[in-house]
Amino acid sequence: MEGQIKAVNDDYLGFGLGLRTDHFEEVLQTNPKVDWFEVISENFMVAGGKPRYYLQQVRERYPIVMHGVSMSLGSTDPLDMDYLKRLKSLVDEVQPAWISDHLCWSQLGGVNSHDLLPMPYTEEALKHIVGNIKQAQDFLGRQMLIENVSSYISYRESAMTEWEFYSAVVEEADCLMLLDINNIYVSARNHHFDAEQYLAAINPQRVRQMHLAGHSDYGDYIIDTHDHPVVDSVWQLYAKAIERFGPVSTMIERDDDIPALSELIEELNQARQISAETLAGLAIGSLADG
Amino acid sequence: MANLQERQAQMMAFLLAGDDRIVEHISSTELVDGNQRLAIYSNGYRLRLKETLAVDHDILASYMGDEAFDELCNKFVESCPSHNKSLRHFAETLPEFLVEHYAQYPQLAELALFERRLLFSFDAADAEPLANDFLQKLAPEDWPICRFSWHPSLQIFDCQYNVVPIWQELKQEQAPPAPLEQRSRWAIWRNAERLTQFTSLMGVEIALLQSLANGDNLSHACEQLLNYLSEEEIPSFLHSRLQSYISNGMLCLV
Ligand SMILES: [Fe+2]
Repeated sequence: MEGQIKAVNDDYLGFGLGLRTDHFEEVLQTNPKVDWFEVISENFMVAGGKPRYYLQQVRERYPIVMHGVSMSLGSTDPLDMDYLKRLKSLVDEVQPAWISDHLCWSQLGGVNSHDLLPMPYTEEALKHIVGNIKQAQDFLGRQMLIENVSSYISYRESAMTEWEFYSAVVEEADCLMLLDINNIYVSARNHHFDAEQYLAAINPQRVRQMHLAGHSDYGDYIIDTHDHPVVDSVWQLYAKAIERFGPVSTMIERDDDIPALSELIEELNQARQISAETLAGLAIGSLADG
Repeated sequence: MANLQERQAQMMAFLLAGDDRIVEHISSTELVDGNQRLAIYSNGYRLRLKETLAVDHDILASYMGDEAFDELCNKFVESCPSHNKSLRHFAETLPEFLVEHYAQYPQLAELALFERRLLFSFDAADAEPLANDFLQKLAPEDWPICRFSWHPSLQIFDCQYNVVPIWQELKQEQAPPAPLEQRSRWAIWRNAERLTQFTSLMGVEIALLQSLANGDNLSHACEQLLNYLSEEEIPSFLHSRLQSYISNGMLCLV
């Protein structure tokens, strides 16, 4: 069981936060106790000014990972090579620990929905998105992390579960996983599947990062809004994930109603604590077994 | 066999225009049917675009008032889908849209354009501005052949209405002045502290700045100024203006 307790990868960064405009100045002034920052790549794919300045400054103090929201890997539009070139030049400049984007599509015929739209889970869609991920990885010269999205619809033609589709994608494209624990919870509630069954199907060797976030619960369905603190059921699912995957770099996404940095750091410390307690429990368990 | 391209086209047609051919391909559950599920996406689509307009054009929004601005947003979102991966470009055509659809209120398009210019200067490319003492250190024989370039954030904004005073009052949360036909010209740029600034310009300054932007050296720039000033007026005008542009971080070396 040893492999499940220590990190399965050498890139373990610890506990991070999303770098948001509201906190730029405070991060530089106070050097908060955050292990790393995740930046939304698109927010910094601009020519200059404050965004680029703060990114450079924060980059000198903290490890950075880059999270993209618009590669639209699942779209039947060809990959946007101009976008990939601009992304690559930002990657060269920032030298992030890794880069990620989503298991989804966003644009078609050059029109952008600015949303992370789910794929039908079919062989055709699988083959298509795998081809695009391979092409993007070849162009960028590195493995990508692919994140599961929250979804509200499922297509009638889907022939496999989300976790079967997601697992097949990462194996065939030879990419890594950014597991969004909140998204698993949201989609499980919306589509009535068992979130733990999802986790159990994921290959621990592929998991490199986790997202946690808050959502809006409407009873019959949940919307992934990133405007609330992480809820208890998602913390519980996070503990299950740590139990299965061992220490994984974890960050909290907050994109709306952004609170004081100190509040987010407190929430991040909750993740640290849950992770530490879960791992300690496992260690005691494996001692008892041994 | 399912066709991914067709399904994506149906989904997009639903988001953009409410075309319901996608509905039969979406599963319903007891609690939430396919239409309700799809509505989460179409609501989200419109909200996101409207929020972008409200953030980029907050002064226009307070000038128009909530109801009129909301109506503008609805019209713009319906007729101008986003063709860019980044939302920061979504509202780029809003000034043209206002020219076309709000022609009876010409100040609206100019106010929107002013806001877009401010946004452009905010994250335009970086470049080292000239040092404050550049002119003092410039040898007299180098003056005539000296050339400058604009800081990449520098733009000239030319308007027929008093939209800058309108913008300034609204920014201070004060009642804006009545719209007035009143031509004015402004320089907009980002200073060394990365703050966006603007200042009004006289016609002769536009001529000087344009001449510098065209790559003219100072001796050629002076020839342009002869259309506006007498020969004796030019040296002191040139020195005072250049020094002011340089201290403001508006000029760089070529
Ligand atoms: Fe996420």
